[in-house]
Amino acid sequence: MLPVTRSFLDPQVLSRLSALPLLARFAMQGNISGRHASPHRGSSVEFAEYRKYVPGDDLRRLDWRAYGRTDRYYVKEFEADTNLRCCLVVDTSGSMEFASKGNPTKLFFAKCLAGTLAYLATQQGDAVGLACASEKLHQNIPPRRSPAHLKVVLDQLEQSKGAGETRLPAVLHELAETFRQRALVVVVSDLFVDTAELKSALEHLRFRKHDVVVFHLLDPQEIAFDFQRPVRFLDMEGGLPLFTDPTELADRYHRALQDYLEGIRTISMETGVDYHRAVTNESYEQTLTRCLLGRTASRGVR
Amino acid sequence: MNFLQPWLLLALPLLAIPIVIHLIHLRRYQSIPWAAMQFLLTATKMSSGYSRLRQWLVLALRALALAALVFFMARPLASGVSSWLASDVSQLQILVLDRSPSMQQTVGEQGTTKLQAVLDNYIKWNTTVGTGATVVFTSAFDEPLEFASAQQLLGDPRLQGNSLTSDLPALVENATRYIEQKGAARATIWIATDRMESDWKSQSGEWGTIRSAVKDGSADIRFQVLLADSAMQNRSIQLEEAKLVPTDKGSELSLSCRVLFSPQSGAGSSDTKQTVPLEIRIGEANTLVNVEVVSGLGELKGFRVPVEQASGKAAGWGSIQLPPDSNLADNIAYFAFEPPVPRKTLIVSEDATRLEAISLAANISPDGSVQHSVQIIEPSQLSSVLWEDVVFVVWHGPLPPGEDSALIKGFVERGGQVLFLPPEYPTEQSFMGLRWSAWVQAESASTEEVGQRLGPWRNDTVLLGNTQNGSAVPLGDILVTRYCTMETSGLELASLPKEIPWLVRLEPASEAAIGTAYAMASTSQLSDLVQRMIHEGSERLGRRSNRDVEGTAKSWSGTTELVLGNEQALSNRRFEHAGVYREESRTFAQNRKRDEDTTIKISDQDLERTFEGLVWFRVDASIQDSGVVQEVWRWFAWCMLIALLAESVLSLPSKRNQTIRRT
Repeated sequence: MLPVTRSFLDPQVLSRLSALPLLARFAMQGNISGRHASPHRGSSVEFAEYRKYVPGDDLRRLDWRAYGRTDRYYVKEFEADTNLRCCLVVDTSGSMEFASKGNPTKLFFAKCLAGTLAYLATQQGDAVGLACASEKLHQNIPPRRSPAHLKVVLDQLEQSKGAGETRLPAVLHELAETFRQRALVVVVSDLFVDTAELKSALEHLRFRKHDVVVFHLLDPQEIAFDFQRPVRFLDMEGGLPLFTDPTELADRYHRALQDYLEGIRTISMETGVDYHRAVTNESYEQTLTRCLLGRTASRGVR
Repeated sequence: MNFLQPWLLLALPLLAIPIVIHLIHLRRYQSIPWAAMQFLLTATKMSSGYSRLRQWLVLALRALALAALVFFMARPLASGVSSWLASDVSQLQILVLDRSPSMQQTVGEQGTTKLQAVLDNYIKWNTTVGTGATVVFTSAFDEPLEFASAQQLLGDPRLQGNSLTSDLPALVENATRYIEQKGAARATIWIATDRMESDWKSQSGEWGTIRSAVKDGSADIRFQVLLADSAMQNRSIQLEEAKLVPTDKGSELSLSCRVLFSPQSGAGSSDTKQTVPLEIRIGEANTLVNVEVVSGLGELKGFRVPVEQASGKAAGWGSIQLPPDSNLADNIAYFAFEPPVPRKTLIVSEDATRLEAISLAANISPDGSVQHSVQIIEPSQLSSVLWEDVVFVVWHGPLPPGEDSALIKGFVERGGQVLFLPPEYPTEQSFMGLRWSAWVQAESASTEEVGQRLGPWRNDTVLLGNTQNGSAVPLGDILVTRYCTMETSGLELASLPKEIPWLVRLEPASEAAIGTAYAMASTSQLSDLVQRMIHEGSERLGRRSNRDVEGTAKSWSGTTELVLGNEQALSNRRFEHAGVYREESRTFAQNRKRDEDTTIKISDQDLERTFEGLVWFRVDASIQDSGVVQEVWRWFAWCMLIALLAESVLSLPSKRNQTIRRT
């Protein structure tokens, strides 16, 4: 059992979620044996195919029975299971620090999600890395699978604070170029970015054969927008403030929000990312359970 | 649109409250760190047409609701001009009330009369507006009746219907004079009546005088004509004659009457015959007679009733009654009868031989049932005359001095008629504004005639009016060869050429005088004038058994008792009601004037002409009316309610889809 002493980690939640595997939807190229499908043949118990013997093959893998029946040499091949590289991309822009009354900040919610996923991945032998992104890539911890590395990741998560603008698409482009092998890229963000740029970045990741999971975080007040008085809105990412009467603006705000959410949903479907929308007044455990169960059902093809 | 409490309109600036609140609301903003700025920026760039319009609509509706509340509290009034009249409640309110029999016609099935309808309307208006005091001018009252509140008008016995024809021009003139006397700056004269021309007298010159007086007067007078009308059928009865006719067996009562249908009646407007039963009551005995009514008119001519069988004596009283209809006031005619009273003419002359023609004319009775007699005396014998039967005095000689003067004046005051003829030798003596000057030989107008012909003369007087068949009295046939000039301040009735007065009505001896004195410049013979003076004297001295109701109690003594008629009338106001009355041993009947039964109505054009140049308004009163003026605060309450409802609907938050799908 790994040590759990972080505010954003709940041992009971971890205990409950341990029963659910974190699986990749696509074949992963790991270094060692693991729980994930691999594009290569290996030594698992799952039969893959027969192949003609070529000189150099290990004679131990020759299928003598097939030789007895056909008088030809066939080698019996099995599927390979490997581990994965899980790269957690957490948005640490200023907007992630927003929290309405009685609800956690989006960044804390992101830490909960990312920390729990890191723990689960490490527990099942996968490599975990962390990238903190705002206007640029602040921290980039490459994926490693040792439990000691988990401490580094969790420390970094704990220390991260929201500030600056969101340049998530650029960061994702950069990461897409950085990862040498297929990876599970988990993006936790409020996605307050240009949708076209976001689409481009996600397509880039998918082009690189990465399995992309997007946790889209929203605060309840950002959805409801139920202010009764005129409000001077201060941009948390350093933009100009905006003075307005929300009662007058509410209809159009909701229309814009709806259009945006529809756009994000369309992008997620077009790019094939595993998209999960989470409202911060919900339990992050539900969000993760939903995600993990969904992935179990669609375990990766090779 | 006017208001009972217009000062409350000062609260109208309160309309700014929603705007001020809106501005304050804008000032009370809070600063909030916000993440989803991109949606806000997108929202502000979107079209805000409807949203902005809704905001302004809400603001306008809130202001409208406040305005409606202010108007509601200010008690708005409607009904056009009535509300305008009510705008100044401090003004003097005068009610000219028509209480004539035509106003006692019902206007609906509930039995409400026109009089009650106009009174109810006025009271409602007054109560609503709260003007308070009302001064009432009505027939048979010389002085106005003052009421502290309009409610007092209700049920006041003095304001019940009577049998008099209202003289509206005279009443309105009295009202305007009253306003001037009171020095009121503004006043409203309410004329509560119907359209009967007999009351309006629209062709009377008095209306012109009233118009001038109102225009020239200092007071701002407005007229409000409160008209009542009824479409119900009505029949009325008029007594033509009730006289005793001597027969071989004693006396018979000859009755003549007319039954009139109102023109609205279907039976009256067509040629169809209709039989109307008349109930004739003589004393305590009743007789039923059917009268055929053709084209709206039925007549009973000379219906004979043996008096001995009816009452057992030569004098008596009774009534003729129609079946009940929409107006009970004109369904009955009263009569009284008695043996004719002798009419005695007293000729006081120094030279009676010159008055033989007059004596002869006075001695002839135009009606065989009335006895005429003449007594000729000298002026010195005047004190010995028994005045009981004298109805006409011809004074030929120097004008009466001293005690004679008092006797003659007393006779005129009682109602007697006196004709002064010039003496042969005029003196300086004067009497009732008359003084004889000198005899003048009349110049002949042509060689064919001797003397001067009379003319012109006034035919609008009782004495010189046209005869019943419309022809003029034959004054033009008289040739005056010699006349005596006179100095007088009386009214000239007939004159010789060159405006030389020939017949003059002298100034009344006193205001209470009922009779009349005349002066004639020559001793010409004119039996018609003599007969008319005798008849007039007889009438004025109260020798008539049947007469019209008069609007004055001058000839009414305190001992007069009601025999048959309106028992609900006040005892001191009986003179204005039709009925049979007994004064000492004599019984007489009085009925409404015939004018009251005429169905001529004043037209809209005449009504407009009557008030031409004046500020006047007309309101048709009916029992269905809720009043000539209405408070319309309900409309403003509804307006406020609707405004608040619309505001709340517009202010409702739009239905938001807060369930954001997770994926």
